[in-house]
Amino acid sequence: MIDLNDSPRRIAGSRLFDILAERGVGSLVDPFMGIPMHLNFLKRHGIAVHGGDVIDWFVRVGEGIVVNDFTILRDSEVGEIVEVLPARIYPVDMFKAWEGVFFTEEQCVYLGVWHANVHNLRSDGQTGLAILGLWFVLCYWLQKATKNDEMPDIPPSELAWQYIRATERWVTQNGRRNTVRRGDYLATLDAHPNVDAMFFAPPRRNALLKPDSRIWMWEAWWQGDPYLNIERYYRDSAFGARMNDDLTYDRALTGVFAKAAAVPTIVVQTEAKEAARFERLLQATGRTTELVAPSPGELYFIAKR
Amino acid sequence: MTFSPNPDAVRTANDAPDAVTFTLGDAVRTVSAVGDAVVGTELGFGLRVGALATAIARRLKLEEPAIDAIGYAGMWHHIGHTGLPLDSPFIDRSARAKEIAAWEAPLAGAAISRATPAIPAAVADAIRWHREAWDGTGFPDRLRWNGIPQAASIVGVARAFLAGTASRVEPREPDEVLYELMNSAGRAYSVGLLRAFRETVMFEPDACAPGAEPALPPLYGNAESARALFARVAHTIDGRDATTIGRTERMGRSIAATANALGYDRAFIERATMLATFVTFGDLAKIAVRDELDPLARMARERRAPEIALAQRIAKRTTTYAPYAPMLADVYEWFDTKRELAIEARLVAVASAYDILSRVIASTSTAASKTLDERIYAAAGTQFDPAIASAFVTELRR
Repeated sequence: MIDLNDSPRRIAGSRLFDILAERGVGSLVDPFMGIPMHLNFLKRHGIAVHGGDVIDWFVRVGEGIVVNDFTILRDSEVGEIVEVLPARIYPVDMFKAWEGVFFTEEQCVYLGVWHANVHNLRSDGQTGLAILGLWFVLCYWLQKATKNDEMPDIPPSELAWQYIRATERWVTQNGRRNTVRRGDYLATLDAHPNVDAMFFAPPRRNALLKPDSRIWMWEAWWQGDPYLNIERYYRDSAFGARMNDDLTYDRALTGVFAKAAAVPTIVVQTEAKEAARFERLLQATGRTTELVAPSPGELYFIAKR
Repeated sequence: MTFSPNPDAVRTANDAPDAVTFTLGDAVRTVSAVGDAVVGTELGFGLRVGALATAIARRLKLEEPAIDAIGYAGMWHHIGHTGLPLDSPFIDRSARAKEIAAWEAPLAGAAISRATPAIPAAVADAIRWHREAWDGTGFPDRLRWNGIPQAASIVGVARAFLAGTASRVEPREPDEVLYELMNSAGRAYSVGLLRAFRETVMFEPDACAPGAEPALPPLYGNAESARALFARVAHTIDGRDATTIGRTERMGRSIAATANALGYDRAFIERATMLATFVTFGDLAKIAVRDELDPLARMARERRAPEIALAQRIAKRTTTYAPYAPMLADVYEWFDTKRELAIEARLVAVASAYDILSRVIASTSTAASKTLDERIYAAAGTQFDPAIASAFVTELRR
């Protein structure tokens, strides 16, 4: 049984848009983007967005819903992703290691089939949409494993079909160039020196050492390696080290702010207990800070040069 | 015409205009009815959503302030639809384009709620995210899991259930909708929420019965806050069509100027302005942009009958605003009719006709001003009260 520890943290594009629109921000970079739903929202509302992350499947999803302006999947193409196609040999044992632990035998077979089918897609946009749609399936299955009697049984291909179709609705264009890249924040910020703002929802201390099971599992699926350990992705990154003391965490945060010194506006999303820390660190960079707290769990520091 | 507002809703502290003793309850209920009208459900739908949502919240043992916020959010969950652009006969928007436009509705609703100081702050977030899905496929932000405020999910499931059973187009049996929602466990809603929802529907049928209303504590503000709320909603409705942006505010200004010139008191001006606001609420009967019929033609009266009927139904929802219902019937009635028309309605009739004419003529001719005045004068004595028409035009010229 897997522990689905759902965080109440939310990154809401609409909230961010309210803040950015009020301040006339036209372009934004998020070097720790995660699943870039918020960037998709901002893109739909006309802001040029640039994201970066070290997890590959986040970046692939970004290619589907951030970079991609118009490509969707036709019914036949969705069918070719979700179904076992005749006359093809599939690596059905690829995820056998998860069988009986997280998934049923049938589910593991489908994971192998979908892995092969998605890797067979030629369009980055389509690949991103498919990865995102199938990720919802993974989450559904993991949740169902803990609450089997209260969730309906839905055939895998039907569930996958519904979710991939849902992701298509989010494809949009804003007449601007939007990008995502795989890499640490340093590379992402280097690539976009002229943006109006940086959004930064910092990982909590040691959060990267205990990633959400669904996040690492889907990266493992995408890489085709059920034993993949994504901690190694973070090991050399700013927040990858174990941070048992405040000083190390502060140093990592300061590093991000220093790298973003040329960005006119930094928007930091945090929570009440960390507010004093971020105010202190942002003011130390010589910026004027403003606090926006639309709800008790959401605090935004807007730091301007 | 006598005007007898609900005694609970009038100013009480020495009749001071800014005294914070005005009960906003009826204003909030009226706005809920406006939301019902815009989404095409029966009036009272928002109240039912509020009632069911608060019952679910009580079953989940939430704290009272949170329950109250959920009740108000249920009542107002659809108010953001007032800002969605009207269909245009010249632009064939696809179903997808309409769906994407609808993603903005919760945000607009949250903005109206946030701008209303008397409404608890948590209401705005519950409205903003009540269409999010547990799995992350909802809108507007595609939040997922516990990132969705529980209050928003509760309002969302109550709305979904009642929208299915109370649909005007295709009403379904409650059991059928319940089954469908329970089948969405883990996708649209969390398993825990659906458990509480099912128990509420099964064991508290009164909570989702027609006519159910949430039991909420009164909201207090001053009279001005109720007017500001209505003005905000009317402004949003006017924004649905590019040609009507700012219409209610313009009418309010011209009504105030004319009434002052005629020596009417502040209470009269407030009533007449409120009447104009209800005329705007009636505009929700219009579902597509259309050419304005010449407001000086008798045919216009019949064409506006559904709008007036809707405005009257909205006004009748509360005792405070029910006295506006008969006045609304007078707005498009001609002065030379046999019965006595409310003076407020006579004033609104001129202001409304002038506003339509100015927009229509502005789009067709450049030499409009003189023609407009002449046309209003020409209708004085037949369509309009001559004294009011004269004062109106004089004030405009000034």
